[in-house]
Amino acid sequence: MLFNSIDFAVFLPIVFLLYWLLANKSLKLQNALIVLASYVFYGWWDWRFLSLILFSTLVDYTIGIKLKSEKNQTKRKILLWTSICVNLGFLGFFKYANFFLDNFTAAFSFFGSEIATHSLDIILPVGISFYTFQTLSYTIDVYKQKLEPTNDFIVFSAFVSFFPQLVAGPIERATNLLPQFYKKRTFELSKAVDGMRQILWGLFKKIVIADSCAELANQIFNNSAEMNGSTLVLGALFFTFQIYGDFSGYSDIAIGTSRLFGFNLMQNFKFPYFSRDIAEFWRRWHMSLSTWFRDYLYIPLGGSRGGTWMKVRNTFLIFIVSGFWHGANWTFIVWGTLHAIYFLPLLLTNKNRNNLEIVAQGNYLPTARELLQMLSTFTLTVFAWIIFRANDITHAFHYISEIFSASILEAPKLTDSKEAIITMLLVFIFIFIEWLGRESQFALEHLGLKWKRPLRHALYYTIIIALFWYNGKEQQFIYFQF
Amino acid sequence: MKKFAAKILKFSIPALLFILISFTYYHISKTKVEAKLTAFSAHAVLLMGDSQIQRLHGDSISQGAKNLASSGEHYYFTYQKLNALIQNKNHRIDTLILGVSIHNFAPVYNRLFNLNFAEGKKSLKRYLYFLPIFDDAGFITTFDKVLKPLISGIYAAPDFGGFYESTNSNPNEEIINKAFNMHFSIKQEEAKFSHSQRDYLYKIDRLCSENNIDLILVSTPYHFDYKEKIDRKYFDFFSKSLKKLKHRRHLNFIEDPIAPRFMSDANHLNKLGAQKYSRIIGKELKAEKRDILHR
Repeated sequence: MLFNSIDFAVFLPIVFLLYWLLANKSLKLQNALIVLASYVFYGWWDWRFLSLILFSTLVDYTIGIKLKSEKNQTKRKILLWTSICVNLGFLGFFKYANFFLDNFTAAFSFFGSEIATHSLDIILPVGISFYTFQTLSYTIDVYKQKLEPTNDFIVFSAFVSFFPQLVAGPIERATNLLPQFYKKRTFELSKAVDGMRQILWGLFKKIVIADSCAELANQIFNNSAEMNGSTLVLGALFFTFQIYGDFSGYSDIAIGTSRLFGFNLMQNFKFPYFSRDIAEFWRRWHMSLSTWFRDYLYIPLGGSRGGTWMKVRNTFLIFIVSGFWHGANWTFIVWGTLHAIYFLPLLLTNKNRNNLEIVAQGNYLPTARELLQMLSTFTLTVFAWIIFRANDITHAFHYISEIFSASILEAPKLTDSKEAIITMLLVFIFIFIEWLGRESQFALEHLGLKWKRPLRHALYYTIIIALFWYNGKEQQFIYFQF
Repeated sequence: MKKFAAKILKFSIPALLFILISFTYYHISKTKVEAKLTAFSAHAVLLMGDSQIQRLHGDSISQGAKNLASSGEHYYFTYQKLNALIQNKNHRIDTLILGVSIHNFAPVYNRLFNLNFAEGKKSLKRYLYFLPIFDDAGFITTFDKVLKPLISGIYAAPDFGGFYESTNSNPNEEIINKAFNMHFSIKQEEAKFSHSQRDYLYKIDRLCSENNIDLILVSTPYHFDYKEKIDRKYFDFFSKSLKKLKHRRHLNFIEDPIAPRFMSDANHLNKLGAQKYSRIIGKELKAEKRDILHR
């Protein structure tokens, strides 16, 4: 079920009413309803893959309990690796099998021996990368004795399958989300209203910004061979806002929906395009994934504590793995590597933690230096998105080559320039609102709260009208495919 | 929880009011549309179809004939319009002159009948007042993507169609290519032919038979360069599709060697061309259907 569908618009109020009017009598009922609703939510897409979630839940639930009682360190390690192998095995099969098969064949062919292989006809289960990482974090935390395993199967099932964040995150930590299932949720007006506002803003990001940009970005990327350099730059910019609006929009809807049910999810995006360096960008972009890799991969590998070689190795490793997490394509690996190259100079000169606070805190405008820093970071990010969006490395190479050709000086050529201008205007309005709200959790959190009610409601209605106006362009969320 | 419900309700008041106003507006407009359709159904001869037929002079074909053709009209909408017209039990329609052309089965017509495409959404806006909202025809299958065209359709003037005249002539290559690309450009995943067009053409035929309406098919000429560009498979599909309508008279001028001065673009007659062909069609009909045309 998609957040931006009529199905969800019907599903959400029904579950909400059942949750607060019927299930609020007991904690068990509340949790059971969440599990049921989550399975319906996921099964709406393809019920067959519910078995995967159920299996993953059963494995990690059982391993969690066994890890608690098991004192033998070797046996504990075996249990941990069983969980890792099962979860990553599923992920590897569904997501990467064809990639490895194709590259294996290509490698053989490169060395002169042809082998006949056929790509497997595999459907990628929606959200598998997200819930796999979530359950893994539970087992690892239990193994490291940072977390008490749960004995309540319903609670654990609710944690794994919690519908607002099941298919595209934020990838929650067991230490944050699991304890929330143990406390009976009581309805909080301010939290619910805040949740509604965040859902509204998330929908705006997805439907108005991302989907409008998607049409133009797809048009340009799909016909890049016929486009001049300036049009290709526009294509890259449209994709930059498409991916941000799409993914952070989803996160906002997920967090807002969770608030309606009395849950607090972690923030996933903190205005990343206002970052002053790449290190800051990564502290603000898809935070639940980057912190996951930091805590479960980078730090266990030694992090930045060791010598220069270890720093370099770990940095490349975490960025490449992070790129590969996005999909089985060399473009993602190169994208990750490029970010490692961006990041490394900051790490080696100890400047990677220079910009911890949001830019121009307490001020309306940034300084000239901050503006320049933001623009250069943004340019580097846009450049990397070209590789991320390209169909393959050759496509990315041609795309970038054309940008750096004389045709960049020509005027952009688009089939519908009116649409492009309107979309650019929308993006400017969007950036402006995001800038105003950059010190909040989400741009609309405090915007207009001090205004008189009619004016505030007028703002919300403007957003709702925009949603209706732009509804129906594109439906799928980009991160569903990851 | 009560406070939250009250807040939501209060916030929703303008939206509810808007829905109520739209609903009322729709019903008032629907009544007006029905009245207009009743008036049109008093004409004995109707011209329907898409922009080719829209260029023809009704009066030159038959005194008092009404042209209700409209640009880019999928037969589904022609069918629904005709259906709405004959709802008037006292209608006087006895002849329907329907445009059929090779490009009518081109991929673009699939888009006009599919709400996933901008063309389909535009169709919904244009023809909303002629459509059964909960139809089983496969057009409005979901309200998910259609809220905007649905709402704008309520407030937009319905497309009854009507005569259209152009004084352009001698179309150049660019104009011809533009029309060709619009009709025949196709994405890999799209179907090559519009089967839904053919289905609704047959449905129009059945509807006419059931209501004793004489259906006459007319194919107006194409610019030579445009015709040359069209793949033979579309000619074949066109001929095959029309085989099932053998019992109907088909006035086919596609192969006419027409001079460019009679064409406003690749596939439309201009004012001169329309005058010429309306007279020809009128004469043809007169010869065979003297009794009807002199009514």
